[in-house]
Amino acid sequence: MADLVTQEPRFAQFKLVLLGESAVGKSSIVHRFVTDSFDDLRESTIGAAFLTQTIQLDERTTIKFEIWDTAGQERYKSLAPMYYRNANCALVAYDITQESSLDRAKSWIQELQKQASADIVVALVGNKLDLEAERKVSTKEAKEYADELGLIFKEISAKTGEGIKDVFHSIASKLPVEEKLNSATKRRRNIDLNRPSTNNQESCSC
Amino acid sequence: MSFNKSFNKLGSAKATASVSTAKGDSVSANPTRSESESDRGHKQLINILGQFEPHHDNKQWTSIEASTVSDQDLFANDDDSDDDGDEDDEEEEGDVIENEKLPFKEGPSIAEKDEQRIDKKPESSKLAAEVEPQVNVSNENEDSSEPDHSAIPSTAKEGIENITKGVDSIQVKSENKSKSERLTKQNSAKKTLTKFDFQRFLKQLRSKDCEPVLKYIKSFLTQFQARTWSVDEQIKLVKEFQQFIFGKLIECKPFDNLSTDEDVNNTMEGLEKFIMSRIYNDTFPPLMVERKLSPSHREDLSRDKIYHINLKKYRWIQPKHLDIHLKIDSETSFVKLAGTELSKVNDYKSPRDKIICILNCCKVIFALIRQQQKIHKVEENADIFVPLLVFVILKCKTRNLISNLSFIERFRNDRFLVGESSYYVSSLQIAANFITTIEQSLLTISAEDFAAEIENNERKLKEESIKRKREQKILEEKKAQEDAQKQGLFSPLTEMIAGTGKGEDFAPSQVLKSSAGIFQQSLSTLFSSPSRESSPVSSSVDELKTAKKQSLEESKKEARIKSERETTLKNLKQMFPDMDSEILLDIAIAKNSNIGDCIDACLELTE
Ligand SMILES: Nc1nc2c(ncn2[C@@H]2O[C@H](COP(=O)(O)OP(=O)(O)OP(=O)(O)O)[C@@H](O)[C@H]2O)c(=O)[nH]1
Ligand SMILES: [Mg+2]
Repeated sequence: MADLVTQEPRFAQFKLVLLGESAVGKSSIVHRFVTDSFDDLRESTIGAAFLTQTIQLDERTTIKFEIWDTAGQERYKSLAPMYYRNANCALVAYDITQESSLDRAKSWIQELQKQASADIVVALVGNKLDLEAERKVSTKEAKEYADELGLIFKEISAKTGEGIKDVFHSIASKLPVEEKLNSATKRRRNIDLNRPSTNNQESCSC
Repeated sequence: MSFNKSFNKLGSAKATASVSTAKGDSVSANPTRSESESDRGHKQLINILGQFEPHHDNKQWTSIEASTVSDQDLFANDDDSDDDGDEDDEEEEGDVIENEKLPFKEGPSIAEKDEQRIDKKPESSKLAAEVEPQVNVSNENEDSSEPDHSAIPSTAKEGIENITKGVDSIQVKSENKSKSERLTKQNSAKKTLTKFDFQRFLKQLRSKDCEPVLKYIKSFLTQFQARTWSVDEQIKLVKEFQQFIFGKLIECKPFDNLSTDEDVNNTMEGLEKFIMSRIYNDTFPPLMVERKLSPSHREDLSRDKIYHINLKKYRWIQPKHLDIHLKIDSETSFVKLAGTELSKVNDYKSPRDKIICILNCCKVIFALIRQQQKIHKVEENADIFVPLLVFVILKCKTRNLISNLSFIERFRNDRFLVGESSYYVSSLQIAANFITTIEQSLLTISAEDFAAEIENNERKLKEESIKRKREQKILEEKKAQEDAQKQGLFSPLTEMIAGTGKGEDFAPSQVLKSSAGIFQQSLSTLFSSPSRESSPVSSSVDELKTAKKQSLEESKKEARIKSERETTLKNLKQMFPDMDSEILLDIAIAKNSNIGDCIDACLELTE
């Protein structure tokens, strides 16, 4: 605000989907993020499945995350593309005390690579870092996987709050703010029918 | 928007679109067409868009204009019964203008301004802002079918009459484009749903300066309705036209002075509602005439068919089959209420209004979750919300959900289909799609139990169908007798109802009770057979309503408010049996019977 000419404030809004096995702590992570962030500006008029949080990326850039909680049960899996279409970023969580949860996270990431928009920013996070004693997934294994695919990686704890802000800031800094500002209309422009591409067969039986 | 640019954009849009529609085309390609639908539409699309092109020859535009102007009444079509658009005259116009003042056109109400709700600070200002007429579907439809001629503002009438006189084409100034770009860019739709005052928009649109714009719109509507378009072409036409006409509009008083986000949004919302409600019968597949259905429209209908079949086939599903471990069933008032709210999507024509119905439904579901939190350990998240949404749909059997969702997705302005709206529309898509794909493996139930439930249900369905046929026959005989006695105005209507076979979820008396205006729509939504030529009902109905509406209008309004309050109070008493009924009444009055707001208030009080 100090220098109006060069420091024109920027505001961009991004859609973030939460993915990961049930009980890895997705809701807890978001809850922590939404309540802890310095900016307490949230809006949710309907319910906590959809939350927003605004963060200040730098002096002139404000980023608003629209956080989409997803139904984690297997029975809705084939419909998940409806959640992550047009998503700008995804937070894929696993539980460092549950080996299977990393496998599930990997399968989400694979799906995202196939189905989501090409430039989606993905963060892999290992949650429950406070339960170090019960750790089953090594940092090395998960980090190598993330590095290989060029994902943001972080171990965090929703309980203590460790690493949470960092993750969201890392995501924010990788988001194409400038592009977003220039193409506010581009979003959702692509004409797609309202059903996931993985799930096409059953509907054309007549 | 240059011609070449739109042509190119069109080309690329087609390229991407062809991927997604490829399936639809192969499913039901029309063999009688020599030229492929998309090719032909493509050319016509360019034609139309060319006519909007500022650099194009104005004469061409004017001549097209002149030939089409008398064909269609711009303000028609907003009335449900008014499908016979072509024969409209000035009286009809007045009719419809007035109609747009009625609550039906205002759309459903929602606590859309309560972003502060999370703060749980019931400020007095908030209360005041929320006092908005809550719409009660049946009443509202009655209203819309009986608009009041007497109260037409004279300026509006003049304005409309002037449309039919020749108006010179609008000279487009070069700054137009940049202005519209600047206006639409500087403010994104940051909120879930911004405030919207349709009456304000209409009033502004009726100002003398906007007459040329109205002519454009009129011409667009005529041409849009004249032909068969593919879905992609429809989307493109509607979106580009809205963009184009917005550019025109902001050249005209009073729109040339849009200073705030709110003004811009209000204008865009207004345009969307204005246009979409006029081409609803050409864009909402269950209401489209057979010959206008493109492959994608047909696909909506066939998917709705599967959806309707599954609603019946799986109506026995219990919460536990969806891993909902709450003490609820189809009789739980929250479940019923959520369903009622959702089913209202079929009563509204604009994407925004439909979305409000969806949001209202979701809001009630979250109220249910919060209420259950006092008894069960349940978190407020997607894992519980989506199954509940599925359950609500299965129990309330909202018709044509697939078509409604497609319609919203196609025609809701991109800038508004963001954030919360987008989330809950997507959630509903997931729930509706889930219903079309249900099978044993997707439910928590053993194979044997599943087979038993299916068999049991089939038997029941058969029994019900027999019983229904019997009842129907009796009813028909009775009707035939009555009709013979008095050949009243309603006879074609009752005949049609009796003849079409009543849908299992609607008693004929209920259908009859709902006003004649909604008749066509409810009939079509009731029976999703694709052949729906507009019926002759509307003209006789028009006469009828003209005759009796004036005296009724006032008392009906009062009656509506009263009955709304009673309904709300009844619901609240069921949901909050522990609360003092006087307090509930106070809340109902304070919240203008808006059930969503009332529930919020009650929850706050009981916390
Ligand atoms: N110790 C510890 N427990 C956690 C942490 N994060 C979440 N939990 C616990 O893990 C359980 C599941 O957390 P949720 O946030 O509900 O997990 P979720 O991924 O949202 O689960 P679903 O919504 O069922 O998919 C809860 O009991 C949390 O208290 C953490 O960082 N440390
Ligand atoms: Mg959760």
